Amino acid sequence: MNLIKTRILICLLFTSLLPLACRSSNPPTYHINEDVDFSFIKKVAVMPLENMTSDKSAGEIMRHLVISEMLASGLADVVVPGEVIHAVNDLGIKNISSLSRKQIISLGRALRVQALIMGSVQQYGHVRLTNVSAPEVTITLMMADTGTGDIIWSVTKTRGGASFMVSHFGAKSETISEAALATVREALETLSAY
Amino acid sequence: MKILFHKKPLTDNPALMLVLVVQAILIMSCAGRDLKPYVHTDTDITLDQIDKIAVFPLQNLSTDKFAAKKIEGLLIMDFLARGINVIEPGEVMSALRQSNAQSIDAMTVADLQNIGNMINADAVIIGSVGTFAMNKGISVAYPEVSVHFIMIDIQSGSTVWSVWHTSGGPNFWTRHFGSEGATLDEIAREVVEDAVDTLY
Repeated sequence: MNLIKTRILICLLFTSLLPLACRSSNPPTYHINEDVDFSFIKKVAVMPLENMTSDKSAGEIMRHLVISEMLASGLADVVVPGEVIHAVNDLGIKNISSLSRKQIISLGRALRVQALIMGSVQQYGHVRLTNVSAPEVTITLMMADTGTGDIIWSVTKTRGGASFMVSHFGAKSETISEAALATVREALETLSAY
Repeated sequence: MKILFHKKPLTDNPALMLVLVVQAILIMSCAGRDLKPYVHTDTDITLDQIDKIAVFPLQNLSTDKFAAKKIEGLLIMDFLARGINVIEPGEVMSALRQSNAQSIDAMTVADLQNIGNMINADAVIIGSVGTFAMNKGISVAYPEVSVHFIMIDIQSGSTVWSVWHTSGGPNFWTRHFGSEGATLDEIAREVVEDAVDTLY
C-alpha cells in the first residue's frame, strides 16, 4: 500500500512540474487593420528603430533582424538599409521616431515602397535573477501604408526571463541574440498569419 | 523490465534511479532552442552568374571594435575555401575612397553598383556584426556571435541573399561541470560557415 502511495505521489509531483516546464512565452499584443489588403505590399522600408535601452547598438541590431526576417519570411522585399538613411537625409527629416503622415507618404515615394516599418526597442539586455542571468528583449513594430500614411499593423512582443528548466535544473539558456531573433520572428508571425 | 519494476521502494532500486538520473541529465543537456538561419533567395538570378564577390566593410554593432574586421576576414576565407573569387579587400577600400559614398551605413543601391562596377564585381556583400563577445553569466563565461549578411547583385541591384545567424551560449556541461566550451574564434568561424552554407 505504501508503494502505491509513493508512486501516486511521484506521478502527482511530475504532473504538477510539467506545466511549469512547458510554460510558453507571452503571446504578442497586436493590431491589424482587417480592411487592408496586404497582398498589395510588395516592398517595404525598415526605418531605424528608436532605441530606449542602455545598449547603444540595440536599435540597429534589431533593425537588421527585422530586415532579415522580413526577407526570409517572404512577406515582402526590403530596401537596402542605406537607401533609407539617404532618403531621410534628402527629405531633411530630423526626427525619425515621430514621422508625420506627410513624411510617411514622401518617404514612400522616394523609396518606392508600399509600406514603412517603424518602431522601438524597449528592452535589450540581461536581467539578473537569483541564481541565473537571463536575456530580456521587448520590441514594438508598426507598419504604415505610404499611400495614406495610416498605421495598418502594430505589434508589441516581449521575451525574457529564465524558464523553469533553466532556473531550476541549469538547462541551456537562450543568448541575447537568440532571444532577439525569437522576439522578432514571433512579432512578424502575427503579420504572416494574417 | 522485471529488474526495473520489482516491488521495492524507489530508493532501493539502483537501476531505476540510474536510468532516471541519466535521463534527467540528457534532457537538460539537450534543452535549448536550435535556431536555424533563414535565407531569402531571388529566383530570377542564379548563383552561377555570380563569379566575383566583393565583401564590403561590415557595420560593427558589437562592443569589440575589431569584430567587423574579424568577421570580414573569416567571410573572405570561407568564400575562397569554397573556390569563389573574392576581390582583394584593399581594392574595395580604394574604390570606396574614390567614390563619393559618405558612409557604409548610408550607401544606396546606386552607390553599391558604381563601386561594384569599378572593381568588376558581380555581387557585393554588406551587413553587420550584432554580437561578438565573451559574455559573463553568473557562474560561467561563454562566447556569443551574431551576424547579418546581405548579397546585392550588381547588374540588377536586387537583394539575392540575406541571412542572419547566431551561435554560442553556455551549455549544460560547461555550466555545471566546467567542461571546456568553444572559444570565441571557433564560434565566429562556425557562424560564418553556417551562414554561407545556406548559400552554396
